Amino acid sequence: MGFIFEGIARSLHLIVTANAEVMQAVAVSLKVGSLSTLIATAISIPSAFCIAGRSFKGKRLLLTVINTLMGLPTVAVGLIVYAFLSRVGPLGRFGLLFTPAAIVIGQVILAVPIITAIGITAIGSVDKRVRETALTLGANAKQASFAVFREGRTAIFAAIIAGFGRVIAEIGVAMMLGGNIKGVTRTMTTAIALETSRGDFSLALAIALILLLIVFSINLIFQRLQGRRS
Amino acid sequence: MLYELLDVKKAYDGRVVLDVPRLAIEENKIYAIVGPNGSGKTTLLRLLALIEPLTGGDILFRGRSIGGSAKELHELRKGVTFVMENPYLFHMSVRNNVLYPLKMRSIAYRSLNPVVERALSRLGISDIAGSGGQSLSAGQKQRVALARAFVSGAGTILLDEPTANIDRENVGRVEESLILLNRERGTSLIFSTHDLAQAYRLADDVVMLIDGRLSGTRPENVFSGIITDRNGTKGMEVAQSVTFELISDKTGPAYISIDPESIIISLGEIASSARNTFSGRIVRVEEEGGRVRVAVNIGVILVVLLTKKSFFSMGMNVGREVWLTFKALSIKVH
Repeated sequence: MGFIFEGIARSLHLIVTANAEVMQAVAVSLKVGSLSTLIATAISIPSAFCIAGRSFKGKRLLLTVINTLMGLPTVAVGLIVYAFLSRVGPLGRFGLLFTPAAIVIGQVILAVPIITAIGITAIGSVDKRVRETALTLGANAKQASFAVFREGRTAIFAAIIAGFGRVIAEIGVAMMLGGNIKGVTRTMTTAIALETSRGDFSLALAIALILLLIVFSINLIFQRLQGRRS
Repeated sequence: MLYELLDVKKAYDGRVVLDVPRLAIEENKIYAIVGPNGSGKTTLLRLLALIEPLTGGDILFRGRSIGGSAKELHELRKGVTFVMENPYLFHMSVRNNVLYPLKMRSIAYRSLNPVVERALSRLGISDIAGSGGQSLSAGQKQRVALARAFVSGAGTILLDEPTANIDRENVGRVEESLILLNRERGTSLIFSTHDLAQAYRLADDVVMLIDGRLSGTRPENVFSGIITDRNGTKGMEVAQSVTFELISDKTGPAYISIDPESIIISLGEIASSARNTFSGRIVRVEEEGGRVRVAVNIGVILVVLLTKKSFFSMGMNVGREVWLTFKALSIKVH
């Protein structure tokens, strides 16, 4: 048990002294995670609007597919994107493998189904009268969709945060597509895995604590926003 | 012509809820749509508001078909606004809710501040202009939605039960504001109501719907209530201590109507076999062709139609106490 407490004490020291290695991993994770969430949001939210607002043949099947994709194993995504990006793969000539861009591609694939699926539910649960009220008050289709977005924004932000939570905590894609290069593609999760296997328990613990703190803070801020609205 | 409905049909899951072969609605007038619950009043208003697709037929709005492209439909929608029975207020202040249609129509709303203030004060909601739309009572929400429709600048306003959630003291204020809007700006108003007295008080014309169809007769002396059976005698209490005796197989909620021509009006109580006799005062007299339409308040308003000759020979006038007599058989149960 002693090594756990020792580990915690040292990890706190590493955080307080802003250890360079720890901070680098945090920076890479935040940078890559935010960018993938942003791109995934740009794809998912308009798609969610299209799907939620229309009834068409095969909608139920599409929803089932999207829901299934929410549980995509990260290593499977890593493997598939790896096959495309590796030097002999169809996109090999871009030289993206083991770059932050490769992680972003993989993470966007992970985040899109989650943000889309929760987004569809969020938009679907917005009062039907919002759209109709906007239309009868002179809004065009785009303005009416914006009204729906604004009225359902708390739930839509929840979808985006769920997406961010997924990518910041995943390891499969970051490891397989990023290659865990120190200072470049080493994220918090890959650093934790590496330091644990190397036996530097306290360093791994320090990063894990920060990761937990980040996820906790984001949810806290979100709940605050939600509280203010209700 | 404001609206022309041509063979309009609306069905949900194959069940036809509205079937109107022809209906013309004129511009700058006030129309009331009356009818029992589920008779299609809201559906008709939603169709006229251009937010509900037709199942069959066509509607011409100011001569233009509503079946055009999305862009054309949007252009047509700018001319009409709809106040729902339970209106939705956006998560913003009352004032911003009221300004919303001006923003959507790209109208410089600062110059319209006096218009906004007047609408707020006419509906008695100036003091809550800064509050959040979601925190209001149902009646306040309805008044905010009315103010929002008033300032929208739409030439046609559709209202679904506009006073349904409004407390008694504010009903008069709302009715007055509707009439003012029509008189001052010529805004066409079409509202649904279950209150026939309100329909006649406000509207130039009354349209009656029963089971999704237009009722051919002028909807007069129509009441909704519950038919009860007391020792084999069926009756409907239409107001406190006013119960009409009637003949029907039905019990429970129903709509009844009494043909104004079948009611006998007299200066004193007459002995007859008719089961319904009430006394009341004349509240309104209107000439119509060779006949006279007399409205009598017996606790509810009943309209009686009689010839000019009999009207004048009896020396009746507004305020006079009279007796009304009609048979249980002359009450039609819908």
